[in-house]
Amino acid sequence: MLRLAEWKDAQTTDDADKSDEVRSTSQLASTPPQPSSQVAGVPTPASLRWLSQQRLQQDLTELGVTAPELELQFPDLSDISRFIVTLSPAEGWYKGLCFRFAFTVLETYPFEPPLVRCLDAVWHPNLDEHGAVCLSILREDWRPVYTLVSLVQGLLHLLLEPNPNDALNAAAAEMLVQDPAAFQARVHQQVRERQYHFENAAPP
Amino acid sequence: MHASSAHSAPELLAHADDAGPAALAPEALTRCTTDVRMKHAKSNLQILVVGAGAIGCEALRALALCGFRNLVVLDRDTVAESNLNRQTLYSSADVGASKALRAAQAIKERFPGCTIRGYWASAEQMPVAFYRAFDVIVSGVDTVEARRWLNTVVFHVVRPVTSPNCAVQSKYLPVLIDGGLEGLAGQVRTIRPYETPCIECILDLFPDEAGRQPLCTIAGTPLRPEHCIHYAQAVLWPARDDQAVRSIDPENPEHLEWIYTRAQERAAAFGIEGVTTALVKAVLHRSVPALATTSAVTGAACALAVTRLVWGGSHAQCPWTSFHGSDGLYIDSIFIERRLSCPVCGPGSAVAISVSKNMLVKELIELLERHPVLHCRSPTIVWDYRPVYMSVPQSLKAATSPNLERPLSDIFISDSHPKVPDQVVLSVTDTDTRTCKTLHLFLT
Ligand SMILES: [Zn+2]
Repeated sequence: MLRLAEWKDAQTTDDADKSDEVRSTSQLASTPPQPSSQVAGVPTPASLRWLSQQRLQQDLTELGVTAPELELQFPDLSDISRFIVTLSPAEGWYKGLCFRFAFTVLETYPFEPPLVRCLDAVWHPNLDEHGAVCLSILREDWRPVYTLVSLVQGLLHLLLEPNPNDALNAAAAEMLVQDPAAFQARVHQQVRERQYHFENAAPP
Repeated sequence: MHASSAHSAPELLAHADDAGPAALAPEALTRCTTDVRMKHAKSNLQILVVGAGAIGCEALRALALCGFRNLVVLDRDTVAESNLNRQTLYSSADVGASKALRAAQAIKERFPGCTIRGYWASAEQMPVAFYRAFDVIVSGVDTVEARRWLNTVVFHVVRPVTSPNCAVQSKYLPVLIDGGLEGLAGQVRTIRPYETPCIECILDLFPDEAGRQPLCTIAGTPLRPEHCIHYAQAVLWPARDDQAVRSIDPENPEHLEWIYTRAQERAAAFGIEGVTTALVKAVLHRSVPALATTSAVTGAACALAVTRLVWGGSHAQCPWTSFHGSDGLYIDSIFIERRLSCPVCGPGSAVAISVSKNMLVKELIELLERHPVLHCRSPTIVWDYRPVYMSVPQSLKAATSPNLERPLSDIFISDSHPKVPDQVVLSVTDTDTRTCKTLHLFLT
């Protein structure tokens, strides 16, 4: 068994650069020591960032294997923690529309859910004009066992079956319950506006 | 799921002080009697207590009462007035002083034969080598993040037991004893590396401490000042124009001020009172109420877990003790199995390979497929969040396929890493099993 007094001698060379700092803390310093000078940002196995990266890699692999047709875009190819998922429901109120969801996977993933924002806001009880998404597994019902696949399924479900009982946009929820025809008309009008907007925005 | 000791530890990077036969034969343990072993343990066992809060204070006192003579305590906080009701080593004269230093002093005064040192530092500030010195690490930290960090450090410095006279009944050291509490419930987990599940194996079993609220409630009908703060945190913060800073740092005064101002505005709009900077801090820090009785029982149970390691027997086989104060006094031990796919302690979770700088990425992939421990089927490789090669999803396959024909010396260069490193740490996923391994690649 190694005694505390001996541990400094037993350090391997890769720790030699830190030994000065260690000595100063062992003398019961009156102020907290400065953080050790590890290479900033590079994940090492002894970090949550590392575990988060591994889990994200596993999840992306799972997503690629289970949903090969899903459209995933990576705006920055040096960082897999930010990506855009495009979902287009095959039926329901939003049939034929494309929705882009921007995912940001934090270094605390999977303990914290990814941040998800909708880039194509539309008249929807569970989406607001800022792009906020009201989906329980993104917030209070998130569990570390859930994966990106669970989230993509949840988002698709939200587009197929908007939930007026759990409303973020209360006016949309009320309209969906009181006057479904007006709700559909409003969605269709937004779709036309958006297409018009796209046509105008297209380069000449 | 597999819990027996038949699974050997992953191929660890050799450290000078780790050399020697890997495991201790079971008959060697019975060679010396329990009494002799306990006596040896009391005077030799090096015990680190991380966190001198509610659990830490009780654990230190109980360990000293048990007769353990070599203790070290680590905490970055100072004593606050509100700690005094349950952190029993401090008095009102200690307010403002370092917890670790005061706790060490208090133990020294009451137990003259005890060697105890206090370090005024956070666990993350200590170099990893510091943790090599200990046989047992008792953790009384208050977040899951801090637990996971400590867990990975333990597996970073883990060493096989080589002496047949070792007092601790574990095949690998250090043993991590993790105490946790929430309200009236307390838990103590004993992590004997590669024998019992580690924190990462059982991550799914932790309660959701984040205190996330349904977004719809806080967006539609805020009732309490906390709802306004959650709204500012969850809705307004991600919608800011400045996207450079992603997550909120509760220690950053500018972030606090930003959240406080937005929460105030929202509270005023809904006629809610009580948004204060202290509340903003508490919400962002997700403070959980603590009770003196729970921490006393949990701290003592941590010390009991240390003595169980020495006694051995059937108790040592039940690595999880839970305490439920709400149903009367009820203590139970349960057995939980390790998770084979655990990225920290799963078999083959860390492997070291030495290759030439000129090796092509596709050659590395062939090597990983043939490797006796890894044998990954069509592996995906990531380096510091950069995809080196990913065969799925489609968009990443298209983007990384050109890398297959490039040499490694070409890949591990970027703006932040201008020189080819001697060593890189990669994570490798098997697309069939989706297990993830850590690969230490030495470039020659
Ligand atoms: Zn594990």
